[in-house]
Amino acid sequence: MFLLGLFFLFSIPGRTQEVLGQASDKASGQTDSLVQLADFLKQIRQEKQVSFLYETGVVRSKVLRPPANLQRPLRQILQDILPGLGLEFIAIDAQNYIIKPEGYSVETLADKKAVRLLRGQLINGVSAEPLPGGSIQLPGLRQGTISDEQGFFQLELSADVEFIRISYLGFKTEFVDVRDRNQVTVQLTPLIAALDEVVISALGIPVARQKLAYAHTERSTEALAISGEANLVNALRGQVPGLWAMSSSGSPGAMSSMVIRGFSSITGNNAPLIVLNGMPVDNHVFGGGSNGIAPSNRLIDLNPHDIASVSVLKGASAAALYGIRAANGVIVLNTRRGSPEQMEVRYSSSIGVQLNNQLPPRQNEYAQGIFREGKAVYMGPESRVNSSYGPPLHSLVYDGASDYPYDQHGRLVPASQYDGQPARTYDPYETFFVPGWTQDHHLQLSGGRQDLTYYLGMGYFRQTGTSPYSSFKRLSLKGVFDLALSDRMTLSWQTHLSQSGGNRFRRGSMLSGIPLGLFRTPPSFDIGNGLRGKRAADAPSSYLLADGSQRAYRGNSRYDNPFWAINRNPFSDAVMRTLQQLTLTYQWSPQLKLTYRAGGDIYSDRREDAFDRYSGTHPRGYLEEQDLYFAGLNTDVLLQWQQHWGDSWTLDALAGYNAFYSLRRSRRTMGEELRQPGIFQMSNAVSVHQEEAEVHKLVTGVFADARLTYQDWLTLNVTARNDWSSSLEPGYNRFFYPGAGLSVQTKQWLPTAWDKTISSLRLRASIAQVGNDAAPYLTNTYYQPGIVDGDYYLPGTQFPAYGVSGMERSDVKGNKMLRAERAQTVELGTEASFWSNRLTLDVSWFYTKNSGQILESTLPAPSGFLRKTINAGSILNRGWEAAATLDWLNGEDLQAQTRLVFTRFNSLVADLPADAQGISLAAFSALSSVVTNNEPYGVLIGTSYKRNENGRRIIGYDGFPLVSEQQQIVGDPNPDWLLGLQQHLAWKRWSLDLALDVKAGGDLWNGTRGVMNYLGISRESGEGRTVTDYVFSGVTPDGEENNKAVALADPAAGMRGIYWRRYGFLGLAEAQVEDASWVKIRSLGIHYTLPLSLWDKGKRRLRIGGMVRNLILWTPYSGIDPETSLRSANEIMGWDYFNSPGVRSLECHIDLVF
Amino acid sequence: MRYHPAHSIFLGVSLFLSVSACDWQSINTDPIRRAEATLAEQLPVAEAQTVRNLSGQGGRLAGIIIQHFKGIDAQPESYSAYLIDEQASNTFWQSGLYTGAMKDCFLIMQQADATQDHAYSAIARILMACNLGILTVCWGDVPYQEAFVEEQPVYDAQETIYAAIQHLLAEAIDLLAQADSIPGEDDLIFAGDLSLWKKTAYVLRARYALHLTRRDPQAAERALSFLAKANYADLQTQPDFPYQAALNEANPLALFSIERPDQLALGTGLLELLQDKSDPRLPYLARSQERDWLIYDEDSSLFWTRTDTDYPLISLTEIHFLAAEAHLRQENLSAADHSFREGVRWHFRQMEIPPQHLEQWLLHLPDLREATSHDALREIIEQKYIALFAQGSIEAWVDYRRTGFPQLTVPDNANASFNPSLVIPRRFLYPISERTVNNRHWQAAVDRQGGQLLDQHLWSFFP
Repeated sequence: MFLLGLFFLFSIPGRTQEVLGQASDKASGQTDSLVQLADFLKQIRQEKQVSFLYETGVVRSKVLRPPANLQRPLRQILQDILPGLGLEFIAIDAQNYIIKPEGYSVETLADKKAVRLLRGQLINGVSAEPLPGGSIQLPGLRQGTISDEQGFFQLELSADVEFIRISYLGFKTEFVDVRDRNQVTVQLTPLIAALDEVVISALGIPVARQKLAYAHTERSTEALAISGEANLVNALRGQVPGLWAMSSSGSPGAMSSMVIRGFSSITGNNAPLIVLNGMPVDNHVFGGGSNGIAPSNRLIDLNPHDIASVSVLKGASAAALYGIRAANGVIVLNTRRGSPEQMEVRYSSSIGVQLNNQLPPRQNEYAQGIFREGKAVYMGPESRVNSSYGPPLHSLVYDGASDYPYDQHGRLVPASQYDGQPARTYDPYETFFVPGWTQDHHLQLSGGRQDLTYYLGMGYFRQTGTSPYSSFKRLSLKGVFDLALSDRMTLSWQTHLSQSGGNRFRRGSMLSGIPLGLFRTPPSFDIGNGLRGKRAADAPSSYLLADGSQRAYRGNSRYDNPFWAINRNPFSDAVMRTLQQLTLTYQWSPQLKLTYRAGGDIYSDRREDAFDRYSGTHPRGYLEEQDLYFAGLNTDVLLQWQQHWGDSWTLDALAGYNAFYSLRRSRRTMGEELRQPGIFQMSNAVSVHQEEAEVHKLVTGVFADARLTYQDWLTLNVTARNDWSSSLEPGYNRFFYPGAGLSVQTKQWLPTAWDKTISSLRLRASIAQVGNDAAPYLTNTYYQPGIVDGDYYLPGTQFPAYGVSGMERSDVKGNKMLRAERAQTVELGTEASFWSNRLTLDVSWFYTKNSGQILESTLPAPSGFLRKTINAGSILNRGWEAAATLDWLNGEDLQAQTRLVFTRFNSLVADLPADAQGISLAAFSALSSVVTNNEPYGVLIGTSYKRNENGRRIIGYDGFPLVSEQQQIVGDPNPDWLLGLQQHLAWKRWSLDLALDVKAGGDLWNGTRGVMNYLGISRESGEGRTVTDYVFSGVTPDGEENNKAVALADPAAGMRGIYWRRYGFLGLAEAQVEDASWVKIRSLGIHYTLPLSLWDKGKRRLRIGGMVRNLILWTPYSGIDPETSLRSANEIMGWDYFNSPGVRSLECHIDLVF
Repeated sequence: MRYHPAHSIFLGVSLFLSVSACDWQSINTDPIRRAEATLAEQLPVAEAQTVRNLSGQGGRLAGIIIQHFKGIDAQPESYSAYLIDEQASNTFWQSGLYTGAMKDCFLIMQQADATQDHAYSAIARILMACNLGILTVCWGDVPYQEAFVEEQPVYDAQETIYAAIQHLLAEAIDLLAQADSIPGEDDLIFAGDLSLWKKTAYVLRARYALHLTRRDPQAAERALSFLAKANYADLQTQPDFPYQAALNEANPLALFSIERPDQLALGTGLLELLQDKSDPRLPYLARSQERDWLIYDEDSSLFWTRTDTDYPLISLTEIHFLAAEAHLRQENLSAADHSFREGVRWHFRQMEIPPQHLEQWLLHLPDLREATSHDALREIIEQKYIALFAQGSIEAWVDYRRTGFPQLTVPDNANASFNPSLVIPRRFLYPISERTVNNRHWQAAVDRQGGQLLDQHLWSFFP
C-alpha cells in the first residue's frame, strides 16, 4: 500500500524519500537561498550514496542555508547543520544515518522479548493535519488506545507484536509493521479526497494509482458543473478521455447516453455499467423510438449533488472484476460521506432560465399553397394542403370575415381582388416557445463520531421546458451511514429514495409531435390564433374549432397544432425508486479482510399517454397506461488479502463471489377509440387490450485479482473470472476470462539530469478478455398472444379479440447453441508528470476485438420463422485517448489550470456472414443505420445521387441530378475525435471556469431539412424558389460536363417542377446528410467565495456565482443543435428528424457551507 | 479460526445464493409467454389471419392490378402505376402468409394430428389450402413441401402446389367425417359446425379445380362434381369472418379507409363496367368525389368500408358464378344461366341492396341460353368481377388471367420498370427477403419460371 507511513527508524527505500521530498518542496513554495532540510538531505543522499532515516514530521518545515562545501565528510556537515535545527544524528554505519530530535532516545533493539513502548502519531496523509481520536489496536486482543488531540499515542506492547491496526472513519484502515520499531508516524489516506494518489478501483476498493495497469480517470463532482444539471451524464461531457457522453435533446428529463471506447456489440448493449458505492445502478432507457417522447435514462434518479466523485474504468481489463455487465466499461460513483471531524451543513441552490439554442431556418415570405395552372396559388387550412408553395404573403389580404375559424382577420385572398388588411407573417417559433426554468436545491448534513459517520442529502430539482407545460422534477433523499461495530467489524448502509418524472411531448416521426407540427406550419397560419406562448397554450381558441375538432394548418386533422398536442396529447411519467445497500466488513487478521455486500435497486415507472379524438395520429382517440417495474438485487462476498515479503514485495489479492439478479416487467394497457373527447380514462375507450412482458435474469460469478508489487515501482496484476448467466443454456452458460497487466515506473532508469523535468514516467500494459451474454429468452421458442398482421399499412389485430383468446408461435427461433460474445482488449499507456507535477499527462492506446457477436440473422419466412439469434461477426475497436493537466500558475492569489481531454475511437465491423450482411439497426424510409463488413459501426445507408466511376454526379438531360438505383452508404455518424478543454482561473476569492467541447466529424442526417424543403417551408426552399438559372455540377449521361441551367421551382411545371420535391418527401438522404462537427462553449461560470469565519480554516463559506451553458455553438450543421439523438439506444446515431431542439441556459447559484 | 457470528452469516448467504443459482433453466423461461398453446387458442388466429390475407394488403394489391381499386395517393398510387417492387409484397409474404396463417395451420395440423383432434386437423387443412391458393396465384412456384421444416426450403412447382391444395382439402373432408369432438366459439367462422366446413372444403375444391381450365380439360367436370357434393344450390351460409366495430377487430378495408383516407378509389376497369351498363350497385360500392369514386364514406354508409362488415373465405355469389362457368363449359346453358342469375342475386342480397334494384337488374342481364359461349363466359366473368369487388380481388385476378375477362386497359402512367411489356400484371415479384436469405432456391425458382417480372406468365394461367 502506498504511503504506508512507516518512516521512523526504518530502512526506507530511497525512492519513497524522494516522493516525500517533493511533497514538502511543493508545499513550501520558493525560498531564495534557504532550502528545505528534506531536499538538502536528498541532495546529499545522491551525492554521497547514503541513506537517512527519519520521521517525516521531524524534518518537515525545517529550512536551512546549505553549507558551501559539500566535499567535507558527512559527519561534519551534519554536525554543522543539525543542532541549529534542534536535531541530532546517530550513525548506524557508514551508509545509514538516523536523524532525530535532540534528546530523543533510540532504544537498541537487542532484547526482543521485553515489553516495549510504542510511540506514534496519526496524521492526515493529504492535509498533514494530526488526527485526534483515531483507534490504535493490537490485532486479536482487545487492547488498544486512542490518539490524543495532536494525534499522538503510546502503546505498550510485547516485542513479538508484528502489526498494529490503525483505523479512523473516513480513512483507509492501515496495518503498520512495528517489528523492530518503537516510534511510528502513520499517514492515513482519506477514502475520497486522495484523488491523486489513491483511486477507487473496481468493487469500491481503493488502490494506489501507480499500481493500476490500465487507464483510470477520476473526477470529483466539485470539478464538474453539476449544479442545475438534472442528469449526471450531461456533466461528464468532455470530461473523461475515452468516454463519449451525449444528450439527446434539450427537453426536460430527456435521455442522455454514454459510450466508452466505441461500440462493442451489434445488437446487444453498448452502455457502460454504473456502480454506486459498489452497487450496480440501472441506467436503462425504456422506450424512446423515433416516434414518441424522449424518455429518461434512469441515472437521472440520482441527485448529482450526492456524488463526490466519478471514476471511469475503461475496457475489459479494468472491468474484469465486474463481469459480463462491465464489458462496455464501468462508471463508478462514490457518494459523499460524513467525516467525524466536524458536522457540516451545506445548502446549494441554483435557478436558471433556458432558451432554444438553434432552430431550423424557415422562409417567412410564402403562404400555404401549391403551384397550379402555372402559378403559385394560396390554399388555406380548409384545403388541407401541407406545403407552403403559395404566393408571397405581400400579395394577399384578409377578407375581414369574422366567422372564419382559421384566422381572426378573415380568409386570405389575392390583394388584386380585395381591398383588405395586408396578410401578416406569423413566426410559429416565437408563438410557441417560452423560456424554460430550472431550479435545483440541495441540502446536506454530514458529520459523525469516531465510530459513526453519516451523510444525509435532500434534493429537489425541477425544470420546465421551452415547450409550454413540459416539465421534469425530481425529489431525492440519500443517506450514507458508516458504523464501526467493533474494532474488526464495520457496517455501512446507503439508502436512496426518489420520485421523478414529468410531462413530456412527442417528437420525431409522429404527426402529434411538437417539432413536426411546429416546423411545418406555413407563415400564413397563426397557431396561437392571436395569442402567444403560455397564454396561447391556456386558451382553447388557439387549437380548438367550435365543433370540438382541431384547429390546425391542415384543417382539423393530419399534423397536430402544437398547442393541441400539449393540451390534448398529454404524456406523463412518474418513477418511484429506492436503492438500498448494506456492507459488512470484517477484519479477520491484518492480512485478511472479508466484505459482504447486499443491495437492491428497485423502481416503478408509471406512464400515461393519451391522444384525444381528432388528433393527427389517432383520429378516434387512444389511451395507453404502462406500468414498468425493475428490481436488481446484488450480492458480493469479497475476501481481501495483503501480504508483504521483506521490504520489497507486496501482494494484494482478492477473491470474490457475486450474484446479480434482475427482473424487468412491463404491463401496457391500450384503449382504442375514445367515446367522449377529452376524457382520458380507460372506461372511456371502446376496446381495451393488454400486453405483458417479464424478464428475469441471474448472473453469478467467482473472481480473483492478484496484484504483486515490487518496491513500489513494478506492479503485476492478474485477474480471472468465471461467470454463469441464466440467459444461455447449461453447457454454454459459463465462461472464464483472464486478464493480466503490468505497471512500471521508469523514472529510476532515466538520467538524473532529467529529474528536474520529468517527475514521474509510468508505463503500463494490459491484456484482458471479457464476455457479454445474450438477452434472456433467446434460447427457446415461445407462443405468445396472436397478432393478425401481414399488412405494412395497417395496425395488426391483437388477441384476445372477437371474444376469444388467441395464441401463436413467435417468429423468432430459439437457439440453444447461443454462446457469450467475447471481447479481447490490449491496452498500452503511460502516465507522466513533468516539472514537479506542473504538467501531467495520461495517454492510452487500446485495441479491442469483440467477436462472436450475438445478433439476429434473418430466416426466409417459409421456414416458419423470420429471425434467429446467432453468434457471428466482430467489431474491432481501436483508438487512443489522452488527458493533460497543466498548472500554469500556482500562486497564493492567482491560480490557473488547464485540462485537455482527447478521445478518438474507431469501431469497425468485420467477419459478418453473408446472410447477416448489412444488418439494420434501425430503418427509416429513406435512411437506415446498418452494420456491414469493413465499415464503421452504424453507418448510414440511404438514397443517393447516381454517380459515374469517377464519383461525379450524373445529371439527367432535364438538368437535374439522377438517383442511384440502390441505396448507398451516405454517412458515418461516428466522430473522428472529441476534445474537451477545461480552463480554471482563480484570483483570490474569485474563480472563473470555462469548458469547451469539440466534436470533429460525425455525420447527422437532417431529415427535418429534407421535409421542410419538400414542403417549401425551409429558408433554402424559400430563397431558392426564384432561382431560374441553376446549373447542377456533374456530368450528363453521355459524360459531358452538365451546363443546362434549370429553374429550381417553376410554377409553369406545377408541383413536379419543384427541385425539392423531385426526390420524394424526405428528399435524397445523401443530400441531407451533413457534417455535425461542433465547437461549443459548454459552460462559462464565475464564482465568488465568501468565508463566513476565519477561525475554522475557511470551512464555513458562502459561494455565489453564475453560469452560462451552451453559450456559443459553432457548427456547419444547418438544423437544430447537432448534439441530438432521435433514438434512445446509443447504438443508433446520426438521425435528426423533427427532434426537439437543444437549449442554452443562464443560471445563478449559491453554495453555503456551515 | 475463532468463531464469530459474522462467519455464519457469510456462509449462510453464500450457500443460499449458490443453491438458488443452480436452477438456471427455470430463470431462463419466459413467465409470460408459453412453450405451447392449445388448439382452441391457435385456431382463431389462423382463421383471422387467413381472412386478413384475402382482405388486407394482398387483396388490395390484387384489387389495384385487376382495377377494382385505383390508388390516388401515396403508395397505392405508385402501385397503380405498376411500381410493385420486391418490397411491396414482402410483409404480406412474411407475416401474413408463411409465418402468419400458414405457420399457424402447420402447427395446428401437427398438434391435432398427434392428438387425433380431427376437427382441428381438418379446419387447419382447409385454411392452409386457402393460403396456398393465394400464394400460388400470386407467385406461381412457392415453397411448401419443405416449408416449416427446413431453414431454407426449396420451391415447389405450381403444378405440385395445386395438387397439394386438392390433397389438403380431400384430407380435410375425410377427417371431418371422423371428427368426434368439435371446436366451440374458437371457430370464429362456423362455431364448430363441421357440416358447413365440409361444404366449404368442397366448394374450395371446385374453385381450385376451375383455376386450371387452361391446363386441365376435366377442370369443369371436376368442379361440378365437387359442387354437387357441397350441395351448393341449397347453401345459405357462407364462411364469413365476423369483423366487429372496434378498430382492433375491424374489417381491414374499413380500417384502411380510416387510417389512410383519400388513397383508394374505385378502379377504372370496374367503374367503366358499372357506368357503361348503369349498374345500380355503383352508389353502394363507392362515393363520387370530384373526378374519383372513393371507396369509403365518412359516415360509413358504404357496405365494404363499414368496420363490422363480415368477410367471406369464399362468398356464396362466387360459388354460383363458379357453377355458372362450369355448367357453361359443360355446355349446360340453362344451368349456367340459372347459376349466373343466382350469383348476381346473392351479391345484391349480400350488399343489402333493395330488392327492386335486383329485379330490374336481372331483367337487364342477357339470357345466357341465347348467347355464344364466348359472350356467355364474358357475361359470367364480368358479373363475377363486379361481385368480387372488395371480397375476392385475388380470384378476379385469376379469372382475368385465365379467361381474359373483363377487358382492361393498362393505365397511361404505367411504369415499365418491373413490367417491360406493359400488360396487366400476371404475377408479383418474389419478395426481397427471399432473394436475400433464400437465394439459392429463389434463383432456381426464377430460372425455372423464366423470370419473375410482373409480365411473366404463370404455368397455371398460361394461354
